Amino acid sequence: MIMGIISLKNVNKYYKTGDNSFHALKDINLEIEEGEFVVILGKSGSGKSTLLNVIGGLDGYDSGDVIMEGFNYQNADDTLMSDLRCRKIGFVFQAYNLIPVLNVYENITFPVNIGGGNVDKKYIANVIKELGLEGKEKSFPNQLSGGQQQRVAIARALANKPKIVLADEPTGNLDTAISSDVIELLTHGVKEYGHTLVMITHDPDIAQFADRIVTIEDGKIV
Amino acid sequence: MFKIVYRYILRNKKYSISAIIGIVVSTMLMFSMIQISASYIISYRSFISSGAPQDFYVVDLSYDELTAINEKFSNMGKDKPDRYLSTIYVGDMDYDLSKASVIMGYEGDLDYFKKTSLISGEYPSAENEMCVEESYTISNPELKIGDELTLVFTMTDQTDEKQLKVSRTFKVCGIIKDTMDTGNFFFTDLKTAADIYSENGLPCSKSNSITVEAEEGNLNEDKQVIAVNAISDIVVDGTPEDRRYFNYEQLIRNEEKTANYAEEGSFRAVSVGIFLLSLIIAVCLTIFVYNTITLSFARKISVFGTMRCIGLNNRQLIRFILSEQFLIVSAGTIIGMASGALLNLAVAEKIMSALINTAASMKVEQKVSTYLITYLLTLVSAFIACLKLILKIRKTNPVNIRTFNATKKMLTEKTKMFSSKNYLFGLALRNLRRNFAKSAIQTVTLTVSFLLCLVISNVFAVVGFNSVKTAADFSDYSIQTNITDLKSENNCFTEADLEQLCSTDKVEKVYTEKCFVDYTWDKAKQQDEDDNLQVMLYDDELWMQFSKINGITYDGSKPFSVLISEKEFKEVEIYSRDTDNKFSVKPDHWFAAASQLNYALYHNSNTLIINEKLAESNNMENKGYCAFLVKTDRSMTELSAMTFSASDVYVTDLHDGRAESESQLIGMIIISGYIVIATIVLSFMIISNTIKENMTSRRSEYGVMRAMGLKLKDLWTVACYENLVLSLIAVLISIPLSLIVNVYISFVLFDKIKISILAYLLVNLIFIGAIELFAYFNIKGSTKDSIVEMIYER
Repeated sequence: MIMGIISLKNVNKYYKTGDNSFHALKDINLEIEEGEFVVILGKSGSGKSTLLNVIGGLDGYDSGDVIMEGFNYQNADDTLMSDLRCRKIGFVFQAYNLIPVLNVYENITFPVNIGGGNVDKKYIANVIKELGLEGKEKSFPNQLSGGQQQRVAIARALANKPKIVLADEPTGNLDTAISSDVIELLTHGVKEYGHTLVMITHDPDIAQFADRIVTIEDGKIV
Repeated sequence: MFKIVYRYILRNKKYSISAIIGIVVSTMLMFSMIQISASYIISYRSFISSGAPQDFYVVDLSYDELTAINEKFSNMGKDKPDRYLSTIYVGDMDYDLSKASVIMGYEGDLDYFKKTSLISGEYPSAENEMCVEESYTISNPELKIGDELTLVFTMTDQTDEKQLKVSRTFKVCGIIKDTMDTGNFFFTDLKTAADIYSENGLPCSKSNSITVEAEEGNLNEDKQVIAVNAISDIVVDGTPEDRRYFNYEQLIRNEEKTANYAEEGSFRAVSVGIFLLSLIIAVCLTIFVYNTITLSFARKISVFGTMRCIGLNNRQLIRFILSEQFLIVSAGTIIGMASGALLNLAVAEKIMSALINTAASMKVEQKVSTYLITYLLTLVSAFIACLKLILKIRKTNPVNIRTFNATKKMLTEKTKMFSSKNYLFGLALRNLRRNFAKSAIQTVTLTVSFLLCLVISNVFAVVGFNSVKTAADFSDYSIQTNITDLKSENNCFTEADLEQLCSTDKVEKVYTEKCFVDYTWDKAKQQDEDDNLQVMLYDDELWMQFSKINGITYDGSKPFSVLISEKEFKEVEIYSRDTDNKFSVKPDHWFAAASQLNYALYHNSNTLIINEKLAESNNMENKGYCAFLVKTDRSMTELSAMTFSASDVYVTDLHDGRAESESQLIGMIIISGYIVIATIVLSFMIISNTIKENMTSRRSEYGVMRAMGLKLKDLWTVACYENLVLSLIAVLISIPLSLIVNVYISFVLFDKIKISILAYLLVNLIFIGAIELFAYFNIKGSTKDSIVEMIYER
């Protein structure tokens, strides 16, 4: 079996609240190939976001292995995980989650700057152009529409030329017209730069563009 | 609504308890300080009025003199004393007749000085009229106003101490009660009293007197002098002996009250000082309460938004917010005040006694106003914090309540981008700009905390806690003669006395002070001033001790002098009263505070101390010794039993004062520790809250940054930079402000500027270090949450 860019082996995750314990992810085994566009489908509460967060290292897990390009998350301390998220993973959140004190350009280049790398101005300019954000570089998030904010979030996710982009319902807060624009930009941007894309969505219309659909139900991949 | 609020508070125990604890601690400290400050003034006022009210009284006056004085006073216009009472003691009655037994003649402010109440009738206005004491009318109920009353009483002939039974009939004109004197009294007017004496061929009683209070509640020295002079002009016949008799025998000043009036400045200074401190703590408290509430809002903002979304209207939400804060603040304040009151019961009186050396009994006064002020202050600060949120809530749609903290005003397209060179620092600065008002409040918080700590630590550093050095450090007793009576014969110690003492068994060492002939050389005045200094001569060995205590270099082979005075003078003129002899001395040293170090050497505050060489070079004769300081294992009783040439000798145990000064020292340490701990605790609580509030309100944002790859240590670096910038601004503001306060305080305490650079450096370093540590622990605390929990604020 060819090792994908990211692989999950027998991953289990529990949520503990007081005396209760909820088994959110049950023996998840998943391989994602480089350059693949994977959509994770599932009902609300099925464990989609939990799976995405574990893949992205935003949340821990209780057993199993998550390995990205040969690097096992279990062996990582905060510095290594932060480095991973900075250089190899790009996130797009449903609620955009832009940093309010940074303008568009600063938000986009944030991952590059905190990673200590040099900003590839040409690349960033291209990304900004591709995403239709020209002229908005100095605007702050509160001066942008929802669609514009999401595009900034996408640009931010692409800024560090990540290996994998994780998008958690990126069109969840947008209307239909803008949603399709954003999906197109996201998939185009990812394909353009050769990234792997893993996206959570409810929308079957979006799912049809994926190379693979992974359905999750009650914490299990079906 | 109340049920919901109550349940909410119970469900959020952690926050509720931490908020209450914070309010308790800060309220306790503030309340304690305000109560101590108020108690000082009350203690002082009650002390001043607890003893005899008069400023002075003059005895041994004849009726004619009393009458002349009263007439003179009444014609003095604005210089007339506010209160005066002339009295002539007549005699004693048989004790069985009533509670009252003394018959007096009075004219003047009887109500004020004797605190009488007139139940019926009036005071004597004609001859032979009399006011009787109430108890007499109880045993003689048929007695009424206008009746004639014959009293039998005993008068004493002052010349031969013979007693005379006298009977006289008076007309009852009034009935009084609440007479303060033991034995109580009946009273008539002065003329009648004087007539009784003359009718019975008796000379005027030595207890005839006039009592004067120059100005009610205040000592006005000028007015007192005018009153004394007015009396002496009538009483003194002009001869020096008579003048001396008036000054030292007839004129009795209320020394205690005079001394206590002199302490008024100290009381007020300490009271104002403590009140200022309590004000600063009050400011810290209000900031703390404000911070605590803002922090709680930051944690609950999404809950408020949800409440509004599901149907709670603005009014209900506001009531919820106000009710919750009211309960928490009230609980914290009530517990805090109770704790403050208990704390004061334990330590306040020690603190109060430590700060002022006085015979006043210091006690903590429980006043309703102190409680009210404290409670209102915390409520007001809580309300102001709530007000800010309430005003915003009213203007905001429910769904947007979550974004209160979003930056709107300060950041625009024109905001300069920060470079990637020091990215984290640029991010920190941008965070500070995001909400200028909040950053300003945080800066004020830090400034007040720094200011408080700088002031307290500087005072702590410069006061020093070395034991006060006194004569008790090198001797055990002082044996003194009455130096105010040097004219009298046999009022100095002689060489024979010194020899006797030195050769006494177990006497280890004797130091001597000398005095001068006849007062002629015993007075000095400062240049162009009329203050009289006392001139003392120390032997060389005593000089050596005095120099050691005061850190000065002494050379006995040269003329040497030290001036102990509140003012510094370049030249002092010593003159003879009776001749033209005078010479000038330029003191080698002067001390304002040194008199305190040497108080056990019984100097008053204006003394010129010279050495043998200076006396010799100016032909100053001395009569003999006026005091010995003795180091010995003998007891005070044994020393007191010794016979000396001087007739008026008294022995003082120097270690008596020492125990008191040591307990004062302990008191000083207690209060300093108390204030320092209070300052540190309060300041750190405020700083911690400020940092927590920042962390809480930006938790989601920090989560996003972490998701983007920001390391924990970088997050800490950003927080450190932010706090460092705020701290440095606070330092820059608080240092000059604290210098102003510290200069003022050091002048009040030491008459010169005393600033401890070390204290300043240490405080600033410790505070800035503490702030960064708080930031670190807060960041570290967030590691227990996953990034997802941070982003979605679970």
